[in-house]
Amino acid sequence: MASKRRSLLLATLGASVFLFPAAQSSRAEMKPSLSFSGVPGLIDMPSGDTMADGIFSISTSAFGPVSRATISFQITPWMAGSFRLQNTRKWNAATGVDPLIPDSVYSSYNDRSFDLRFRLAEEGVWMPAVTLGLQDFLGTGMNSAEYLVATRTFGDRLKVTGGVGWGRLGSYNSFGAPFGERPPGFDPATDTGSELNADTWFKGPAAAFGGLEYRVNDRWTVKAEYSSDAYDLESGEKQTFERGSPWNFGVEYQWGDYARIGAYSLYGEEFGLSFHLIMDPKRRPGTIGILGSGPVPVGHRPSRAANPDAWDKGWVTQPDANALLRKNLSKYLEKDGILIEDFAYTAGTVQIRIRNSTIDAPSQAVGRVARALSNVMPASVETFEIVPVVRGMAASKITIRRSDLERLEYTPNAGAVLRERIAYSDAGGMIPGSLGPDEGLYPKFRWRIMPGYRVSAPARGDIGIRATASYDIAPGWIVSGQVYQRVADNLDKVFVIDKGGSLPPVRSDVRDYNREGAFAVERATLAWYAHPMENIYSRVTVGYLERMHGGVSGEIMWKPANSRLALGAELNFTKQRNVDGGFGFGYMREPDGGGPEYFYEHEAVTGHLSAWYDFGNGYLGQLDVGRYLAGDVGATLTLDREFANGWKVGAFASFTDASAQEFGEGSFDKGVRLTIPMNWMLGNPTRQEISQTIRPLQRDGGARVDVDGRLYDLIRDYHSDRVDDQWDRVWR
Amino acid sequence: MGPRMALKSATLALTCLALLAGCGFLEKLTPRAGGQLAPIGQVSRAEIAKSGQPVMRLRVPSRGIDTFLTIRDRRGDVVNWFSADGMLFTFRNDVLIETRGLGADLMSSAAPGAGQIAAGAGHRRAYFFVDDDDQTGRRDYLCRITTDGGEQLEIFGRGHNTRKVSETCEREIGRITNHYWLEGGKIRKSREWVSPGIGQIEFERVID
Repeated sequence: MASKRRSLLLATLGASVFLFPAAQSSRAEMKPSLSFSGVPGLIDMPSGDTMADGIFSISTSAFGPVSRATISFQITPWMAGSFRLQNTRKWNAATGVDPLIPDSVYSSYNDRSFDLRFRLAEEGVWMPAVTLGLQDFLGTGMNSAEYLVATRTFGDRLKVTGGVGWGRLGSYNSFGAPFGERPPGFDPATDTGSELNADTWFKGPAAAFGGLEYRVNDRWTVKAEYSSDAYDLESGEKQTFERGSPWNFGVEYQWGDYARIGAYSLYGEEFGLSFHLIMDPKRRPGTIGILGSGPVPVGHRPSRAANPDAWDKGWVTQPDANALLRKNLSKYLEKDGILIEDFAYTAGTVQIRIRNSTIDAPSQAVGRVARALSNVMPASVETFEIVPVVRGMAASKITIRRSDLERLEYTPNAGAVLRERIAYSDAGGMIPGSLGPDEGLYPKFRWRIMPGYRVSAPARGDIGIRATASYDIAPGWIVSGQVYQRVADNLDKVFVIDKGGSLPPVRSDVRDYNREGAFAVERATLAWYAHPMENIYSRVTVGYLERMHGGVSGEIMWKPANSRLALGAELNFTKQRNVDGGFGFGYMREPDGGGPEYFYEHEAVTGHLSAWYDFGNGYLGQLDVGRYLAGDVGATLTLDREFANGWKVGAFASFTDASAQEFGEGSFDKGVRLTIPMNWMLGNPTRQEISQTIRPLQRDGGARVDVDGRLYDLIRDYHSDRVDDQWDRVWR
Repeated sequence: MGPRMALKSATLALTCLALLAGCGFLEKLTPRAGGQLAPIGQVSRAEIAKSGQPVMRLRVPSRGIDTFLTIRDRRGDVVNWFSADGMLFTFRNDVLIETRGLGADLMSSAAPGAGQIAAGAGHRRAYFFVDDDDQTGRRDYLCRITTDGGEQLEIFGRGHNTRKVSETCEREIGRITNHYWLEGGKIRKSREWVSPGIGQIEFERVID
């Protein structure tokens, strides 16, 4: 296996060298590397480099008492975003308990920050790469810094970086404050954070920083830098470490295509380590394109003149024709994990309703079905109607002419040419005479057991086992559930700090749910999905909808099969569940401000009007307006970047009528979400994916019921805006 | 008039179903992962010939593939060759036009036929292949044929007198070269470009 993987890597290298013998610029040899803050940079300082479009990275680093974990995403070719957790140990070693937070038992200080970086100039023949960065632009401001930095590559081995920083990066050896005094930033006594601290940007002392990066060979790189970060608080008042020198040195090792590790000397006294995982959603590890066996060639009909019998339409009246044809089709489809939900025909048209359980690209599933039909259906059938079915709903109808398949199979640019000749439409009604779903599809029991985890605080939580089961009763009717059993935890290290806020604890008690529910029924629902009218889809879910809330959730969505726009409405009646993970509602809790325990119950009527729009080029937007769990009213804006293979990176923010004081620390709900398809990791067709939502802080404002199986993602998979992303795979 | 053509439950020829005579035989010859079979190069011509089927040897250096192909079907000037594990290679007039199952597949192309290559005229080529992010990459080339001279090939113990020709295809920012070893007017061996992800792959016609 290892040698195979190596040969793949070699092959990829070999191929690219082979391809661009002349165009290979020496500069491409020196890819940007990341700093301790997980952005392109030297060691602790940023650089002017920009990652390639779409690059997603996960970084961890530590020196002395300071450790950081950062995820970064190159949102567009010119803009990148990062989310970071910084932990500083020994926080109260010198000063004792923080007087501002009387109950504080902090032994370390956690800070969350968001960065944005903008590329101002690309590296050219003379021009260096120039970047403007805003670090921690909405957090507490403790890590806030702004910088303007340039990096120039010399030959294929050396990079020189120089920049000017403000805020944190202007704190050591400043040359003055060119744009005036920096107003006081975050005050923990009065502020709740997350306000855009634009009035402080580029204000106050500025200082210069810079350094060198030298590539010794393909694997090893050495770095040296001069840091303009004085670590005033950490090394001054808090005395968590001694900053003896502004000079940092290090060596980095490129480990395979994706990982980079480094060891460093920082600030004269400290030893540091870093680990970076740099992923390109557009490129699967080890392979371009997806593996998996080839298709069967398109079946060709004999000419009508040579074999008029084959074109006879009499077969339609043959009583066992449906069963026979269907059996033959199944033989082609089963190896691709395609199941038949329904099948009917006339002499000229066939409609097949399929469930695609394996192939990641919907277009490839459609193509495989079309090929099967071309090999099985009698010659008189000219029109193929392929209807993908999702949870019992006929999601769309893709109509392909059989003669187009026959004619275009070996045509140059066959994908684009065929696309002009097919149509997406609403599935509509079934051709009469069908026999219903394949045997064994309904009822059908499925289950899965996976390792799982729950996070109660950064790096605190528990790991365990999560079992999921579902039972398809009839098309559109699904009973499903999920349970979790804790195996190990470090919950004793979770310290609850009052983050302020006065909304009902519809989310913020999550730690209690995790602590009390060693075994928990996370979900137990009955769901009914339907496609009642043209372009209209519906869902009703009843039961324990999620770990913290149960009740009824109903949704209706309008989405034409070839539309970029979708509109939806959702209404939920829910009660907050017991922390113990059982079937009860409400629980005993201690008031946030202290006092005797009381029985907490919370009922909520929540609902949203939603609009989704596919802007093209992989950029998606979503706007939800309505009432949230804590009774606050407002809107959530979500922007996603979606790659054709299913990678999705997005950010969301909710703005409601809950004031910053009512909301507590963080001021409003926001976060990032990430979906990684398993097909990207494995290089084989599979429809499984991993999704994760990351919030800097989970508070109670802007919270929605986390109900499983919302309509948009289910249905859109088989609509033109998504299928066309990988349309050409229809021929694969 | 009743139905003249009654439908029957068909026996299907999928990837390696017994109906395709070539298939079971291919599986016997092809070393499986972790299997005991001799490397493909050590299989004897007599063993390969047993099936009575046309056989090609395929090598994909970038993916470490070395295997046999046999004919799945013919349709006019198009012939589909396939491997025991379901890879499919489509030739038009003996020149590769499509691949399936390599990952970064050649999805479609406009290519010359063997006759044009033997004749040595210039021509255009277009490649449509699977590129980053599962998108289709397109490259258009202007190609010319040059004769490199005679070459004696040995394929599974049999000698072939061939004339080696190169098809050099250029575009503004790059160049690829395909190689063909012609025996008479027939392509005996070829080394043809598939995609940036795969590079070149090699075919040897072992048994016609």
